[in-house]
Amino acid sequence: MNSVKKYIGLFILIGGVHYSASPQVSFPLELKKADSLQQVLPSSQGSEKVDVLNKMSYALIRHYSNRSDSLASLSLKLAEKLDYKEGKAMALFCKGTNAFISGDFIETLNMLYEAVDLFKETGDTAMIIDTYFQVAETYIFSGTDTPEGIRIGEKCIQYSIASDDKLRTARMYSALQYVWGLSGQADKSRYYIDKYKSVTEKFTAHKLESIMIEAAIGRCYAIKGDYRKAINQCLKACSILHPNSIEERAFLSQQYSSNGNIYLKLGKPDSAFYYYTHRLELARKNQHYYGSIENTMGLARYYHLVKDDKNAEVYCDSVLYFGKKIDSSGSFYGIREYLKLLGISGEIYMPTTNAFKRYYAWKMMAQAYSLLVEIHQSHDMYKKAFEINNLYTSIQDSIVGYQKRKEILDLQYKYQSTQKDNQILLLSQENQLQSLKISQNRFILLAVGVVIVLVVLILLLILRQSKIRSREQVTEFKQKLLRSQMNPHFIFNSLTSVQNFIITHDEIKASVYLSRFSDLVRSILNNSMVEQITLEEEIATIENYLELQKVRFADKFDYSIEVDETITPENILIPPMLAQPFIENSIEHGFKNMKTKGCILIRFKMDKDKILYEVEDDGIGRQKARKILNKLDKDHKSLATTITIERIKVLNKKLHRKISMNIEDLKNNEGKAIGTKVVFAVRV
Amino acid sequence: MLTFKGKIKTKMLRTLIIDDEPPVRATLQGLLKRTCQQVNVVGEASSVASGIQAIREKSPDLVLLDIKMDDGTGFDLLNHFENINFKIIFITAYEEFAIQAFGFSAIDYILKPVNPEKLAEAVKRAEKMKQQEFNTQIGALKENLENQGKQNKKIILRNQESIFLFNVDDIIHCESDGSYTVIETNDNQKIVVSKVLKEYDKLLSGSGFLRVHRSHLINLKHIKRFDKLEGGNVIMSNGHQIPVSTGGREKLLELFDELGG
Repeated sequence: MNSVKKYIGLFILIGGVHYSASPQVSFPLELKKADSLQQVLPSSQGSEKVDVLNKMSYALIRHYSNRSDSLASLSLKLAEKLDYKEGKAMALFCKGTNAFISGDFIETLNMLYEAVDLFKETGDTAMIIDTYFQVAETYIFSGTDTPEGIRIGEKCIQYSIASDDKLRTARMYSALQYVWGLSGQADKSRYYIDKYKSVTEKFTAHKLESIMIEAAIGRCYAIKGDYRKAINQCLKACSILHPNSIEERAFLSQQYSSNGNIYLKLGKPDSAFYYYTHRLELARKNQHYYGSIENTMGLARYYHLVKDDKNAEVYCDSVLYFGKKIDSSGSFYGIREYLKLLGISGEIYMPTTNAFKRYYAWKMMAQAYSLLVEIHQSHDMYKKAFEINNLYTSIQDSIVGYQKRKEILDLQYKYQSTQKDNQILLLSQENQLQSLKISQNRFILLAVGVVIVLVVLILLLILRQSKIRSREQVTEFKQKLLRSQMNPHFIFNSLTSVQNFIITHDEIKASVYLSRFSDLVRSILNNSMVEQITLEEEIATIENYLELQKVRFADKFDYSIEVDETITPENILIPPMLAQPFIENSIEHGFKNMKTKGCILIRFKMDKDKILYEVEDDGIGRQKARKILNKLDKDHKSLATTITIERIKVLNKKLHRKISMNIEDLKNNEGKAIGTKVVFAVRV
Repeated sequence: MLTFKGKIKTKMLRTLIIDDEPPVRATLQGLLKRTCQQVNVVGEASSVASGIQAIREKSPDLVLLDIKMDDGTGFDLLNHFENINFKIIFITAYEEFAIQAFGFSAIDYILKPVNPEKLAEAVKRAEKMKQQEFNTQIGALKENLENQGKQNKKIILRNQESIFLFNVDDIIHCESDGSYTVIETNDNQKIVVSKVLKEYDKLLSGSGFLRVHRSHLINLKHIKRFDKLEGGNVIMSNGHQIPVSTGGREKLLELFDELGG
C-alpha cells in the first residue's frame, strides 16, 4: 500500500473549470439544469414528475448530496406508487450514489444492485453499465475491495463494447487504468491507457481526462522505475494545466509534489526540493490541505535524505498539522468556498466521502509518524521514538478500521454472488413485510373503525341530547305560546262579558258569545297539537277572537277581514294564529288613549308563491304605546314580538317553510304615527 | 266631606265601580242590584285616572276596584290617597302576585267572572268592617306589595273582635282547631282565626313555614331542636313541643340535610 501511496500524487490530476461540460466526469454539477428542472416540477405529473425529480437529483449529486438524496427519496416513493420501474431504478441509482457519499457503503450496494436488477428488467443497457460502474467505484473508492471493483469494472467494459457505447467504454478504460495504477500494476494500467487512447482517437476527449491520461502514463513509467520518462511525461501533463484557476492551481501543486517524488527517486533532491517548495506556498495560500500535506511530506523526505533531520522533523510536524486539519474538517480545503471544488483527481470519477478524505490524511500522517520514528531511532531517542510509535499505531488502527469495512462488504459481495437465492429470500421477506403491512393496515383500519364508531356514537348522543333539549324547548315554547293565546285576562274578562248578557237577560247574545268563546278555546287547544291549519279555520278563529274582544271593549274598535279573490281559504295551510299577539297588541295598546274608534284591518293576499298575512291598525303606533307601557312598567317587554320571532324560527326549522315577518310603523305625510302594520309572508 | 257622613246613616252603601271593561262594570252593577240591596252604585270609572276623580267627587263608602287597567293598576290608584275613608273590594281576572298579597293582608277580592254569593258576602263584610281596621289591612297590603319578594312580610290576622298585624317571622306555630286556626306568636299571644290551617299553609309555605303534621304548621326559623326519639318532636323557640308526622319527619330531615350540607 505504501508504494501505491508514494505515487498517489502522480495519479492525482487536475480537475478543471470545464468539467461540468464533460460527460466523462461522473455526476457533473449542473445547478442551472437543476434550476430549470425545478421550474417544470410543479406542472409535471405522474411518471413525468418522477423523471424530473430524478434528473434534479442526478444534477445535484456531486455537491448537494443531501438535497439530491431527498429528491431521490421523493421520486422513489412516487415511482413505487405508480409502479414505474424506470423511475424507481433511477431513483435508487441516485440514492445509492448519495449513500456512498455519506459513507454508507452497504446501503450503497443494496440500492445499486436493486437498481441494476430493475434496469435489466427495463433493458436500459446504458444505465446498467453506469450502475455497475458505480458499484465498481464503490468497492474501489471505499478502499475496501479493489479486486472486486476491478472485476465489475471489466464487466462494465464488456457491456459497453457489446452495446457499442464508445463514451462509456472510454470512461471504463480511464477508470480502470487509474485503479490499476493505484494498485501499482503498471502493465495493466498501461494496457487500459492504450485502450483508452485508441477509443478516444475517434472523438475529442475531455481536457481534464486527457491530462489525467498523460499523467497516468508518467505514473506507469514511475512504477516501472523509468523515472526519466516518468518525469518527462509528468512535466508534459503539468504544462497543460492553467495556473490561474484555483482548482488547477491546487492540482498543479499536487502534480509538482509528484514531480518532486520522482526527482527524489532520480537522485536529484535539489530538483525535488524545487518542486516541493514551489507549490507549497500556493497550496498554503489556498488552504489546499491536500497539496500542502503532499508537498510537506515530500520536503520531510527530502530533508531526511539530505540528513537534515531537524528540518525533516519540522516538516513531519507540518504533515501532521495538515493531516489533523483534513481529519477534523473532512475536507481537502480550508476555505469554505472551495469545498465544492475537486480536491483530488480521483474525484473526477466519483465524488469522495469525508471519511475517504480522512483516510487519505491518516495515511499521510502514518507516513510522517513512521519517518519520525525512523529519525528518532537513528538518533537513539528511543523513548521519543516509542511515544511516536504509539501514535503511529493508533493512526494505523484508524486506517485498518476504515479498511475493516471490507469484511462487511465481503458479506455484501456474498450477497451479490448468491443474489438469486437472496432474491427469493428477499421476495419472501417482502411477502412477510407485505403481510406485516397488511396486518398493520388491518390494525389501523380497525382502530380507525373504532374511532369512527365512537365519534358517530358521540355525535348521536349529542344529537339526541340536542333533540331532547330542542323538544324541551319546543314544549316550553308551546306552553308560552298557549299562554300568550290564552291570556287569562282575555279569558276571564270575556267570560264576565258573557255573564253580563245573562244578567241583562240577553239570553241569545249570552249563548252566541259563550259558543264563540268555546269555539275559540277549542281551536286554541287544537292549535297546540297541530302545526298548520287551513286559512278558513284561521279566519274563523281570528273572527271569534275579534268578536269576543269587541264585546269586552264595546265601542273601542271595529275590524274587517279581507281575503283576496285569488285565494281559496280551504286549500291553504298556515301556522295557526301567527298574528294573534299583534292583534291583541293593537286592541290593548294600540287604541289606548284614543278618542276615536280604532280599526283593525286584516288582509290575506297572494304574492307569487307566498301568502301575505297583514294586520294593520290605525292606533297610536308602537313608539307611543311603548312609552305609555314603560311609564306603567319599566321592565315591560314586547312579548308579542319576541314570542313570534321565536315561533317563526322554530317553524322555519321544522316545516322548512320560509316565514318572514315585517313590522312597519305607519306614518302620515307629516311624519306622525298613524298606526302599525305587521306583514307575515308565508310560502305556500 | 262631613256633609256626606250623614248620608252613611241612610244605610245605603255608596258604591263606586272602577274597571276598564264595560261588560264587567255592567255585570257588577247588575249583580249588586240583585244581591246587595243596601248598595247604591253612585258611579263608574274606566281607568285609574277617572277612578281617582270619581272617588274624589263621589266619596264612596265602597269601591269595587279592578287591578289591571289600561293606564295602571288599582294599587296605583290607592297611592293617590293619603287617607282612605272607603273600603275596597278588589276585582281581578288573574293576578297571582296580588292574590298572594291579599292573603297576607286578609283583604277581600273577587275573581272574574263574578260569583254573586261571594260578592254579597264581601260587600257585607266590608259594610261591617271598621274603617280603621281596613286601613291597617291596606297598610299591610301596600307594605307587602312594595317589599315584594323581600324578607319579613307583614301579615294580618283577624278574628271576630279585633285585627292583628304581625311580621311573618314573629309567628312561631299554627295549629288547626276544626275550622279555626290557632296562631302562636313570639310574644306569647294565641290568636284564634276563623280560617282553616290549609289556607295559612298555602300562604306561608313560601315564607319558611312547614306543615310537619296534619294539624301543625311551624315556622322553621323558630325550631330550637328536633327530637328524633319517640316518633319525633320539634321543640320550638317558645319551648312548645310539636308532634311530627312520618311525612313531616322526612321533609324536616331533608331540610336539615340541605342546611347541613
